[in-house]
Order: sequence, then C-alpha cells, then structure tokens
Amino acid sequence: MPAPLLPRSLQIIIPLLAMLLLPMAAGAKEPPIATGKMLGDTCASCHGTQGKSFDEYMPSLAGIDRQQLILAMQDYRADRRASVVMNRVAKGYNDREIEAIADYFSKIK
Amino acid sequence: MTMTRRELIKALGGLGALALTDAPALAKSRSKKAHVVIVGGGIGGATAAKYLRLAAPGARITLIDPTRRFVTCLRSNDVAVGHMTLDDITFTYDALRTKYRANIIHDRVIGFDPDKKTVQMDAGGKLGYDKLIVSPGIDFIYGDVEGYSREAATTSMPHAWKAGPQTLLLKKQLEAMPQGGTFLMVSPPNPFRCPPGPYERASLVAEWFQKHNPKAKVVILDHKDAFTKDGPFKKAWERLYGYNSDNSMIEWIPAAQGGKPLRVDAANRTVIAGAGSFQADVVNYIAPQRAGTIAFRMGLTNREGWCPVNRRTFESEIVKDVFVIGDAAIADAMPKSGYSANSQAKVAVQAIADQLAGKTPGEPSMINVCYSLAGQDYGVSIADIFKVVDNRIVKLPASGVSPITDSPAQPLLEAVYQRNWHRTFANDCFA
Ligand SMILES: Cc1cc2nc3c(=O)[nH]c(=O)nc-3n(C[C@H](O)[C@H](O)[C@H](O)COP(=O)(O)OP(=O)(O)OC[C@H]3O[C@@H](n4cnc5c(N)ncnc54)[C@H](O)[C@@H]3O)c2cc1C
Ligand code: HEC
Repeated sequence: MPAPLLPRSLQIIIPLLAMLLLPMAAGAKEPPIATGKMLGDTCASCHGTQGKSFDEYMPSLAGIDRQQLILAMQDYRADRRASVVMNRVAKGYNDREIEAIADYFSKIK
Repeated sequence: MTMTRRELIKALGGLGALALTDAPALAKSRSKKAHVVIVGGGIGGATAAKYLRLAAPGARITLIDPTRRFVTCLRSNDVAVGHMTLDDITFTYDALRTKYRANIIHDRVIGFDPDKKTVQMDAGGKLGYDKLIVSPGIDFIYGDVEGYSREAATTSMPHAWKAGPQTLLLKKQLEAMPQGGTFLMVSPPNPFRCPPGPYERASLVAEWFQKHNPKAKVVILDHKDAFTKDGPFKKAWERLYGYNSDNSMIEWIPAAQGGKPLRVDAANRTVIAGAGSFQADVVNYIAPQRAGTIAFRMGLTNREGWCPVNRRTFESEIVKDVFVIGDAAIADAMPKSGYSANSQAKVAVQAIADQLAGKTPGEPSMINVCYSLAGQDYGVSIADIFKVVDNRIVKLPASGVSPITDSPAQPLLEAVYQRNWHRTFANDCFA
C-alpha cells in the first residue's frame, strides 16, 4: 500500500479521491467485500464485542468518529503512526473495507 | 425492509399470505424459531453462542458441554510457572445463559442422526436441531511411538495441552525437580493446537529456572525443523537465556538433527530419538493431535483426522447443516488457535444467520493474532488477516510477525498488551 502523496491536511478528501480512482484501477468489476459488521467483528477480539472495550489499555471503537477511524487506519497502514500491533493489523484491510468498518463502528452507540 | 415484510404478513393474516411472499421472507419467519445446537463450549462454541444471539435475536440456542467451568489454554503456560492461577483463566457460562439466553446443557454428545437432525447426548437423550455447530477442539494420538500411552500422559509424561489438571500436574513436577535437572519437551508434528505454544512454554520454564533452579536446562525434541515466530523467539532466547552460547539454558533439537522421538520409556522418563536417549526429570510430551473424538463419531473427519469444511461458511463438506469450527476444522493458512476459533465462529454465525434468512452467505473475513511470551516482560506476536480464494483460506501478504528491533519498548509493550488482551478476548467469547 503506497503512502498517499498528499499532505496531511488534505487527507480528509483521500477517501473521496480513492472512490473516484478505484473503479479505474481495479477494472470493471470490484471484488466483493465483507460487511462492515463481519469486518468489525475481527477487531472485536481485541477492542471488545461491538467495539466496546472492557479494558483501559484498549481503546473503544464503538461510536468513534467515522473519519477519525479511517485516518487512524490509513496512518497505521502506512507506518506513519507509532504502534505495537495496529500497523500490522491495518495492512490487512483495503480502503473500501476500512470505510465499511468505519460506517459500522461509528453507528454503534 | 424485513420489518415491513413481517408486518405485511401479519396484516394479511398469517399463513395464507405467506404463500404470496418470496422465499427469503418465508425463511426469515422460520428463522425466528430455528434451533441451533452447539457441541462444545470452548473458545469456538462459546463465541458462536454469543454472536448467534447478536445476529439472530429470535433463534433458539442450545450449547452442550460436559464441563461446568471452562479453563482456557490461553495463558495456561503462565499457570504452569506460577505467574497466574487456574482461577484467573477459568470462565463460567453465566453470561451465555442469562445475557445471551442460550440453553446450556452439561452433558457429552455421543453421536447424531444427520437425517433426522438430532444429536444424542450421554445422559440427556436426543435433541433436534436445524443447524449444528461442532467445536470439540483436539484429542491426542497415543499410538504414535512405542511406550507412550494415555496412562503415561496422566502420570510421568503430562502433555498439559488441555488446561486444567494437566497444567497443575506439570507445575507440580516442575517444582519438584532436583537442582540442575533437565526439563525435556517433545514438540508435536504439524498441524497442532497453538503453534507457538511449546516455545512459549520452554521460554517461561527457562525464566522460572533462572530464579528457582539456575543450573537446570530445557531440552526441546522437535518433530519439525522450523516453527512459527522462530526468528523472534530465538532472538529472545539469545537475549534472555544465552541461546547459542556455551551456557544456553535452552537446547532445541530439530528433526533434521534427530529430534523426532522414536520410542518412549515412560517409567524412566526417557525419550529415545535419533539424536540419542534423553533421560529427564520432567518430561512434557506434547503428543500428535487430531480433531476431537466426537468429530470422528459423527463422521465429520477426513483420512488425516481433521474436518473438511466449506471455507466461506465452515459448513462441513461431508454433512449438510453441520458447521465445524476451531481446532477440529481444516482452515489452511489459519493456525489452530483460540483467536482463529473465535474468528471462525463469527464467520459460521454469519453464514447460519444468512442461510436462515434465505440469503446466500456473505463474504467472510478472518483474523488470527498469536501472542506469546518469551519472558514475563518480553512478548512476541504474529498478526494475520485472512481471505478465502477458491475455497482456500489464504493469508494476506502484508501483515506478519513482530519486528525484531533493538528497541526494548517493543517486546515490553507486547508483553503488557498480551496480559490485558487475555481478559478482553475471554470477554469477547464468554461475557
Ligand atoms: C498451552 C497453550 C496455550 C495457548 N495459548 C493460546 C493463546 O495465547 N492464544 C490463542 O489464540 N490460542 C491459544 N491456545 C490455543 C487454544 O486454546 C485453542 O486453539 C482453542 O481452545 C480452540 O478452540 P476450540 O473451540 O476449537 O476448542 P476448545 O476451546 O478446546 O473447546 C472444545 C470444547 O468441546 C468440548 N467437547 C469435546 N467433546 C465434546 C462432546 N462430545 N460433547 C460436548 N462437548 C465436547 C470440550 O469439553 C471443550 O470445552 C493455546 C493452547 C495451549 C495448549
Ligand atoms: C491484536 C489486537 C488488535 C486488533 C485485532 C485490532 N486492534 Fe486496533 N488497537 C490495538 C492496540 C494495541 C491499539 C493501540 C495502538 C498500538 O499499540 O498498536 C489499537 C489502536 C487502534 C486505534 C486507535 C484508537 C485511538 O483512540 O487512537 C484504532 C482506530 C483501531 N485500533 C482500530 C482497529 C480496527 C478498525 C480493527 C479491526 C480491523 C482493529 N483495530 C483491530 C489492538 C488491536
């Protein structure tokens, strides 16, 4: 996954740009992705069921701001943010999947 | 959308109107009363019961396991060296019963009838199911070498590969070791439950020796020539236990150097391997493994002794409407771990909920993280995300093993996270 070439301040629009670019890059048909819930359930074993952490060491994801999650995942994936394990976890999800995950967790109360 | 359908059916007055609606709606109305039975309330089974309730609020859920309180293997190596107690890793079914309204039956399943769709319990008779989830874990192959037996495993050569009395037996023998003695471990052939587990145990035992038995040694006889995370493990052994030096506390003998056991003299705590005859004070013989016995009785296994499944759903390739998850299932690149069992349970639940709603099961996504300790303050981990391609579970290339760095913070933080992770993880399964 190449690091975005855009400065940080522009990162808000990256997902939008990615959406514009993806269909061209990936060809006519995009591979199916799992639902936000299915993908989010893979985070639950560390961040708690439905992202509700039981633990002071593990940040809760339930109700997180959608854009905050997307940016955090992109930063982890590009090794721009210091981390022990999230940088390796984040590399397993593409942009569309991260957005689906963000949709899922941001809607949980 | 389903609400409006259901409301419509109700408004039109039940059965007659059902005929007018499409198949998914019909299936959905049935799913309300669908009975899902789960055999085995370990990591996979408990997660399945809980997540099924979250996915299918109307379903009837029954979980069957003879044990009243489940002891996780996870962190049982800490119990063997006295850093944690058995209580710390024991969990009840209370939340599954009350919060997630699963019917918990403490009994052993001894067979089933796939045509009539019933399971047979030891004491409790027959029970009908619409969908059956089987997560029985592993059992051991005792006949692999001459002299090793079930009897030996419960006396002179514990495996401690199912947590509980076995863990305490190993602990007791470790504590009774004479000064300067030898702890011999036999590490099993692939595939087996918890691939980094033997090496974590060897590490924690070496660390315990530093304090309590400084001249003692750990010898590992291995069926294999490589093991998971061997890079970071060996690095940690060098840093902590003098590995590769004249005073190394750990000696690892791979298959290529005669590590494979050939014969066992259980009474004399001796293992004969290509590399020689090893007499030890404690022998931790981790036997070769296969799917839990009930999977054989149900006819769910292949010739290698594991259960072939559709990788997208974990439905058995042999028997319809039966889903096998956890250690017993064949999951290709996914290791047999609690983490994998938990992740697979969620995939099977999605598939069952979708099937009951008359839909094609959705895309799966799976993860495994194996956290291990090479010392109390030294963690190593492996994190992988998995997808299904052509009915095979494949690892995505990007993720991976903890980096070997010179920074003391990385392994220390990994150790801190691991301890806390165990609680969060157990809660995701049981609470
Ligand atoms: C020393 C050690 C350390 C480990 N550490 C970790 C770790 O840190 N992280 C990790 O992810 N994994 C770890 N594991 C692996 C993990 O414990 C297993 O992979 C996991 O428990 C598999 O889950 P399961 O549901 O397949 O089986 P289990 O959790 O073993 O559950 C099987 C259940 O089925 C029940 N059962 C069996 N037969 C029947 C029957 N006939 N009727 C009814 N019930 C039945 C059993 O009583 C049991 O409760 C470790 C394992 C060991 C040995
Ligand atoms: C193996 C355990 C583990 C898994 C699995 C995991 N996380 Fe994390 N997560 C962590 C840890 C630990 C941190 C703290 C940062 C670090 O050290 O890596 C963290 C931090 C985060 C943060 C930053 C939160 C903040 O407040 O700054 C986000 C966002 C996040 N994770 C999202 C996810 C998502 C989304 C998933 C699933 C796709 C996921 N995580 C899966 C362990 C995990």
